[in-house]
Amino acid sequence: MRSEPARILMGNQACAEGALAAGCSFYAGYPITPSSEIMETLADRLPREGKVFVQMEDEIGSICAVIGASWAGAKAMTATAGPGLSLMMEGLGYAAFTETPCVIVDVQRAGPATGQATRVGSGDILQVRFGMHGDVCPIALSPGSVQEMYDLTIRAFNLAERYRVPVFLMADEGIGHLRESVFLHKDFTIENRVRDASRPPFGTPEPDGVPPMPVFGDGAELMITGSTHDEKGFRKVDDPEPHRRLVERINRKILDHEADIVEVEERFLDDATVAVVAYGFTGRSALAAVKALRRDGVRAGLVRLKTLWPFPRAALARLDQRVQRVVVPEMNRGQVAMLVRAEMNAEVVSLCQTDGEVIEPEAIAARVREVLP
Amino acid sequence: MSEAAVQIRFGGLGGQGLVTLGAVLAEAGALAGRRVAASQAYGSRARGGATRADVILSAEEIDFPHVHHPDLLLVLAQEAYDLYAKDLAPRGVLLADGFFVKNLSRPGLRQACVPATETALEKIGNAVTANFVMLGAGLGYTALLDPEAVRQAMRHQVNPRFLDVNLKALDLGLELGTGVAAHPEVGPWQ
Repeated sequence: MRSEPARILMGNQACAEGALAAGCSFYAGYPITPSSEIMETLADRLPREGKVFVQMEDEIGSICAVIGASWAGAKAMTATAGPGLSLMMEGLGYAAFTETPCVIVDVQRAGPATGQATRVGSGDILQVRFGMHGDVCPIALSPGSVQEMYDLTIRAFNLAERYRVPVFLMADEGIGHLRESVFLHKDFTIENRVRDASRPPFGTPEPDGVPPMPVFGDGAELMITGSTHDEKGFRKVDDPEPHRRLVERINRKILDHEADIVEVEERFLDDATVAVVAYGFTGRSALAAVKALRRDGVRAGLVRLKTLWPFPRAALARLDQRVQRVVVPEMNRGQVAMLVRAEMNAEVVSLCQTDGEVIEPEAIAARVREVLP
Repeated sequence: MSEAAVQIRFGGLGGQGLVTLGAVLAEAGALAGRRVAASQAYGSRARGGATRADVILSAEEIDFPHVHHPDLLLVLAQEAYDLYAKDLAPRGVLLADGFFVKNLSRPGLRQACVPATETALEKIGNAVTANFVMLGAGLGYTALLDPEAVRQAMRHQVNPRFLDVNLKALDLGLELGTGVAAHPEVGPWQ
């Protein structure tokens, strides 16, 4: 049942609505195109609901405020674009290592550096996986519509709470600034971290477990550090075993739960001999391209990645059983194509576009025709 | 894109209120029961620079939400004409604000000038309302949507301080639009 009629919202506004619906109680950020409407909406709405909005001095301050707020018990969020994400990297690694739930929205624009602020790109996909030093697999989601800006923002908060991790919503300018119908439904579960002060906050008996997260004031004598720590939070900066155990667990708690985290949309695959693998706004171009190809008798299919990290390996293994050729259109130099190639025996063809414009369906259809088996 | 979809583009300069037009038209379309998608392209300047706002009104689900070839192109600056006239769909119609667009230089198009800014200046005394005169002209000509749905969207989205003058601008535009079909280069909307 739809609990509300459809509204016409911009993707960024739908993201803010999703955050509010999921129980976001703290936002700290620094405005940056093309993400600013998220901040603008929350600047208006959070204080009205008695919650906290802070405009910070920069993105370094923003992510650090978000981490602090999370340890004070808030569901905390920030939003930015590539240049801000680069500044946040140190704090993001700290959030991952201290197992701090939070949501980071990256509305990707044309980079590198300041690039073109109002133009579209998707060049930050590998950055959220490899930008933090050390080794940690994050969770990153990829919305393909204004509706998914709402739905996946809610999911991002829930996954952050379930796994005690920073979760990235990897939007792009195309989706962030698109206006479409969206149902701001309320038929979802809100998940909350387990605030148990009687068990250690940084370790579990299971090697892929998520420890409980008491917050300041719960009486857990919390010690939080970005240095290697044992189950109770004591610094262990020389011993190999605590370091191995912690690094392995914070990765395994994500990688061992791929089936729970990863979502893909599979369409027209039953008889497909060729497939397009796409994500974000480009997923829309790919859907139109696949439908146009089908009208011309080409047996094309689509796998749209709604999750980018952990990388959807199982879906690509399934696809490998069906098709001989795969086209991966991207608004970057082939970041996801590289990952797809590593997972598949099928021939993987990268279609890159780096002019700050979206990829048109015709360009994808043309490349599929070129590579037909 | 299905046959049941109409693609509309507003082209002009930053500051002319085109993104507002796109947002209003999209909401009006939804109120009238259509599937809608609206997008825009603009530069990083607050004023000036080529800007476009695109809207798709469709009876069916919209797969690719951007406009390639507008069926209706409403142009409020010469620069925008020069940039976007080539994108017009084969049977599409281009209406230009005659105050800013002096040179309909691309031959063979169904195109005409309407006095949007002139009307805004003479009848309202405020050139800034020319955007809604232009929207009215496009709707008066095509009858794509019930004007009441547009008014309802405007009441929701336009700053209340400027709502009345813009509603008046829309009505003046609707009137201008009814005369467009008589233009020899344009003819009736299909």
